[in-house]
Amino acid sequence: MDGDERLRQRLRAAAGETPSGAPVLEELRPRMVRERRRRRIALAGTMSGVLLIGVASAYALTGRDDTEPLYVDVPPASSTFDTATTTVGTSGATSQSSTTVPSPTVGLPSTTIARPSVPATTSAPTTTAAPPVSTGSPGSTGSTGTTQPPSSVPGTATYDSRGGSITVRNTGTQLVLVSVTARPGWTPETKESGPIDIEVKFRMANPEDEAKIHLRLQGGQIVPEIE
Amino acid sequence: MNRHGELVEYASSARRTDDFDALFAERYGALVRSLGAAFGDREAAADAVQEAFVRAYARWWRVKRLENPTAWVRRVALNLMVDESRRRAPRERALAKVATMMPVETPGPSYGEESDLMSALAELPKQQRIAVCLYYLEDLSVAEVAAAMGLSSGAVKYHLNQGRNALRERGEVD
Repeated sequence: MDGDERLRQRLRAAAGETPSGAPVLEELRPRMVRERRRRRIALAGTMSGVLLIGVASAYALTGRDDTEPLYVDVPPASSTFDTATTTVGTSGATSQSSTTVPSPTVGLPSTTIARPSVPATTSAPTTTAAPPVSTGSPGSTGSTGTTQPPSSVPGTATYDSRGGSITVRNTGTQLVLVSVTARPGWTPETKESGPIDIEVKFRMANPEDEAKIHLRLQGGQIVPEIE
Repeated sequence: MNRHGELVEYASSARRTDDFDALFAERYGALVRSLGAAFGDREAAADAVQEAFVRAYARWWRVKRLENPTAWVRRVALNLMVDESRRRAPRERALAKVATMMPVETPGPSYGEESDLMSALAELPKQQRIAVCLYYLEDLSVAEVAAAMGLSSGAVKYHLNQGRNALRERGEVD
């Protein structure tokens, strides 16, 4: 008998008898069944969670995100913007109204933006919406910020600047950038610093120029600042 | 090498992987004995092995498909024992310190039958103890001991050799 075998036998003798498993198994069975049930429930919960996340992800991927601005490429051939309409919708307890106002006429390549000569015409007599207009400093290369009267009605509105226009939706508590349209030669840069604050810059490389539309939601009203 | 033990374990695993009760009846005692000897606490070893079997039962549909379900149970039980010994280490150190300050007659280890060999075994480093007990008491091969301990075969051979040398120095091995 070699040393290994002797050590094995001595260790077995010292370690004692092996306990019988049968009585322990009967004692353990309720605990095992409980543990199996608990694990199945946990697995089912995990699977449900994964399924839910999968469905939500699929929905998010297939549906369009309202918070993502829609960039519209303007064909280079188009050099003038004659008119645009701004629709401001309201949802009130009594009625719904919409206001159509003319947007400023801008001639390119001139940077002059004329104020609309005609005030807003309101189809619903009970509602008056101030048109979002944009201004610039005619003939000047620098830009001057102009704070416009706040847009008082929740809904969708378009704001123009020399570099392009943006459309935002006012939910009453937050601003959602719907679309950004840059004029030919201008590149939009969007900076949304918060749900009540939207800033879009339009840059032109040659000649170097910059226009900015900054919108702030204050008391449910949009306060635009256009440079 | 423990060719016999290896064959017995693989044959029994292959034969009864779908029978949890048979696996329990066959391996429970051996696992408790080897882990009890390795950690010097048979009750804790029994708790750990039972917990390992409970976990195996909860996921038996997966465990039974393994090549060697006993190895899975052994690994879980061993990890539980290692965790438990780590948890108890500070308390045992504190108790040992108190015991040196106030020498009182303390009961022997919960293992039961005291022997010189078990005392010598208890003084071995943990890795050597586990390797020696799994190899000699459970008749595992070096590769199986390595799988259970999460070590390489070379490391297990080293620990076995060191353990044997230490036991020989104490006169427990020829």
